[in-house]
Amino acid sequence: MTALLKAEGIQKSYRAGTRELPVLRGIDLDLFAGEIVALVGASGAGKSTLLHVLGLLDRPTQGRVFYRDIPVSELPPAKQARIRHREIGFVFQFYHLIAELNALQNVCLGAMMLDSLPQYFGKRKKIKDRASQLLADMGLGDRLKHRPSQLSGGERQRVAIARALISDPSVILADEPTGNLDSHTAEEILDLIWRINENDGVSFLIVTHNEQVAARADRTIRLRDGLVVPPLVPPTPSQEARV
Amino acid sequence: MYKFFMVYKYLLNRPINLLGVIGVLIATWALIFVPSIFSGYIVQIEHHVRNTVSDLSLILRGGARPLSFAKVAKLLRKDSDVEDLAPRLSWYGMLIPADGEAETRSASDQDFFQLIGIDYPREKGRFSSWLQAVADKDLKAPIADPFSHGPKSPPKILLGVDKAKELGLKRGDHLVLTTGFRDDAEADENVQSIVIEFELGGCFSSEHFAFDEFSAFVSIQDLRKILRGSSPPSLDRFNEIDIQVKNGTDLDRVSERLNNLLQTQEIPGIVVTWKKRQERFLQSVEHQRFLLQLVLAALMVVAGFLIFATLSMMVSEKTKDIGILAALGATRKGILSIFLFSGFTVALAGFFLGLLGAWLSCKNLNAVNDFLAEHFALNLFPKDVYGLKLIPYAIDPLWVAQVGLGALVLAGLFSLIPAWRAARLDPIQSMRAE
Repeated sequence: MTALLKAEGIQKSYRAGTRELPVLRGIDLDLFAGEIVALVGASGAGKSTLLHVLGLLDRPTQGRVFYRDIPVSELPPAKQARIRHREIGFVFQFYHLIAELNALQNVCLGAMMLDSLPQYFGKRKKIKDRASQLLADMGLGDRLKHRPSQLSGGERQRVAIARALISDPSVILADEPTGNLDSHTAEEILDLIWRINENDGVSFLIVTHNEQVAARADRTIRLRDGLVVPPLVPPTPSQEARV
Repeated sequence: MYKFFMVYKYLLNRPINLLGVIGVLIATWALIFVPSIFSGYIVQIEHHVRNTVSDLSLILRGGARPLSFAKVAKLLRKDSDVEDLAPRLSWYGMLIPADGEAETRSASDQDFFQLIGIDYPREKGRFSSWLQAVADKDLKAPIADPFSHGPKSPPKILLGVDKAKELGLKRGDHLVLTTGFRDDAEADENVQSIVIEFELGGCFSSEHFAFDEFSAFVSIQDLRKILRGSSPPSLDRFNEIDIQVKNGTDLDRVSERLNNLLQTQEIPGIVVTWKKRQERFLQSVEHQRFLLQLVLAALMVVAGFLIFATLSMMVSEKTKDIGILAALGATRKGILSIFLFSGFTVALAGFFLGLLGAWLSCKNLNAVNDFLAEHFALNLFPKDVYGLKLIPYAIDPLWVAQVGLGALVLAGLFSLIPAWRAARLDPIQSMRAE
């Protein structure tokens, strides 16, 4: 089975003065279509850095990222931006909505990135209808004209999810999507993510500290000091006998 | 599309960008309005100057021996483009009203005039249309022949209508001319002084303020008699010839041909076009306009700095948005475009508002000037200084286009630095910005 998103020997280091500071030390990872994978680890383990590298927002120092077997980390920035727009959605802990735009405009913005002015006006109504529908599906049908400052944290995150969904991506990279929400709202957002996954088959890679999220995911990948921690293998009967 | 959308939203939601718009507006207004008055003035002056001189003028060199007009005219008529000719004899002298106090006046009380001796029947209605309107001091009643006088009565003289008013003269009043000449025919070449009385025969108004102020017309026959000295009485003396050429003729070419002709015949004179004759004066006004444009262009540079400052602030404030847009698929070029378009939009808005302001200012210039003068004793454009009835203006479309282009180029240059800075931002770091 071909991985939707694949990381191969990803290394990433930052320069601090004269020193190289390694953050990712050789990560191999597969994300398959339709699955939800939780990426857990302590602060500074490199979770967010890995997410940015996988989302083509950052280039790896070494290693390659494949999208449907295409080595996308080696593409020129403009082509990466196109893939980022068409295939990858982002959801952030702090929502990252544009303050000047209302909920509907924030979602529509996600669909404007590749269109020229005439192209956009040709399908403006379609985009608006789709954005309105997405927001309505998220329970924000009466909040279309509200600006981010007029929305609660949970509502903002729903707008951010709708924005990520407007260009029909096959994968959404979520960086602690519930990290800034109370437990009740966080539960609602997680339910929403699982519903989208179930209904639309969108894959999710969720960076989280929350073990409950990890437990709910199809798979969990643990990072420690820039490396993937091998999954614990249950002991065999002979090993148990020796103990 | 997102670029235009973001430009629209950012500019609409950030009133500080109005600073840039206002800056370009003021610069555009000043750059169009002020030079337009100068252009109007130049157009008006050119028109007035054109009014007072013929197509071409032959000017004899100073110190040249007196020549016969008929002889030179015959030569000039050889050129097929020459249509008509009229002799002129220009001289200088001081004029004062003969009011009984003439002897007690000092030199500074006397006005220095250029006396222009003309062949009135020949010139009337042919070279200077306004000479037809020679009239009494109110320019109401035209006079058939303002120079005719009896053998015993003093010769007639014509003054500019405003000058006559200033001197308190009316038709029939007398003036005293003081002048002198060097009699070339005399062996010792003594300078002979002349004091002669004239009678005001009428007034003229060419609309050329400076010309009307310091010019006086006399009959060429009278002036020849006054300046005859030892010259033979029959000599039809002149020192200028007004030359009228056929319509649509290239004046420069004709003047070149005539100058060649004069050279071959060794006639000590030069033929100049009307424009060339007033070149220095027109050039000085044009130069003043150019200097003003240059100084006012500095305003546009200041407006450019305002655009730079407001866009730099915008980049700092919108750093997080830049990261968000990158995450949504915006390229560096796209982010650069947002801030460049913002600069261009500010410049265009300022330019069109400034253009509208300049146009309205020009349209209402005279009304506003009169209002300010009447209510606040503030005379911004004193018409009497320039001798104009109305303050003229001429909006030059080419200059307007140049100002618009300049505004756009400057906006582009000043937007480029913040736009470039925005495009170079790391999207991940940007999203972390507070």
